[in-house]
Amino acid sequence: MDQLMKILSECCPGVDFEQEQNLVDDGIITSLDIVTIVSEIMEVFDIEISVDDLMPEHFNSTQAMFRLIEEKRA
Amino acid sequence: MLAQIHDYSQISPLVSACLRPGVLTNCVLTPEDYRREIAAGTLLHLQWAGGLVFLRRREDFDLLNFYLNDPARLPDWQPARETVLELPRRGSGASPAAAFWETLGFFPLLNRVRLSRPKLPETPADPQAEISLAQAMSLLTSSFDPRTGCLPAAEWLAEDFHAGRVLVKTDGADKLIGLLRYSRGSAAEIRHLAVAPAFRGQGVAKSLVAQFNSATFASRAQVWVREDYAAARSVYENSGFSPDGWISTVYTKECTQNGSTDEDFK
Repeated sequence: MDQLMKILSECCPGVDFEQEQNLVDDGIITSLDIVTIVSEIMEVFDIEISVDDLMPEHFNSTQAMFRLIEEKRA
Repeated sequence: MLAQIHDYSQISPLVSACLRPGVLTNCVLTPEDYRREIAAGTLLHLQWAGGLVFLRRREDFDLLNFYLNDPARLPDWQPARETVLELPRRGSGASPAAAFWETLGFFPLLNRVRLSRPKLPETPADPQAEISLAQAMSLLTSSFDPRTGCLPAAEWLAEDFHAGRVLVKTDGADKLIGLLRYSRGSAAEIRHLAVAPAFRGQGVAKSLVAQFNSATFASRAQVWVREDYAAARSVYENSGFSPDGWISTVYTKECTQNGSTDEDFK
């Protein structure tokens, strides 16, 4: 989780990733931010994320992103 | 060399290969977008050492989406048809990809700003008049530049009608005088707002936006509007929308005699 928080704070400075639960739905991050975040996640966690995974529900919260990472690492 | 995409399974390997730190992109396509273009036979791609381009073919021009990993590496490609791309960015500085596309001969055509509206309290919705798909398409095509207006194909507009995502205003005698088309995603987004020229300045647009607000009160909403269209901005800003810091520049490049031709497609 610490690695993910570091990625998020660098990709989107100023966003409260610890509290926000509707990052995409509330327009706090966009699809362009998601591409940036995913690119970093794939590099740092050495996982493959597909186009089908780039759905808002996977990026609405830090917990959702962490679940996606865990799923891809399993 | 440009190649047509025939199967959705081709998409993920192409895109995933570009998802590396520092990648630059624009207007990300959804799985539904890819599937629709593939089904219509209108999706092409070009991959080179520095990145990936998707072209969505339209009658007289192409729309371009890209992933750039190394902007210093230029593709050995020039468009054979007029090509349009959009560079959205947060804040007023230039997009980091702008210099790359300008090097390839693209030039800025217009700017749009994004306006957003929060969730609203519920309000009653007006009953909808019935109009034909042909009337709606006619008003849209006469109101927007096809290159920059993101006009839907007739079957896509029909889907929106069926799903209740087209709001209309008539003159009381079945003549269509205004139309608002929107999409639903993480936010409701106004895609088109058109008013017949003879009926402008009479509150039709304001009424349609009020209908939209009633239909989408439960979610956040947004709209991209041309920076220089003061009247349209005023309608939105008087209906609960305000600038949220996103700006977009539409670039175009007219075709060259040395560009790729259709014969180059695999």
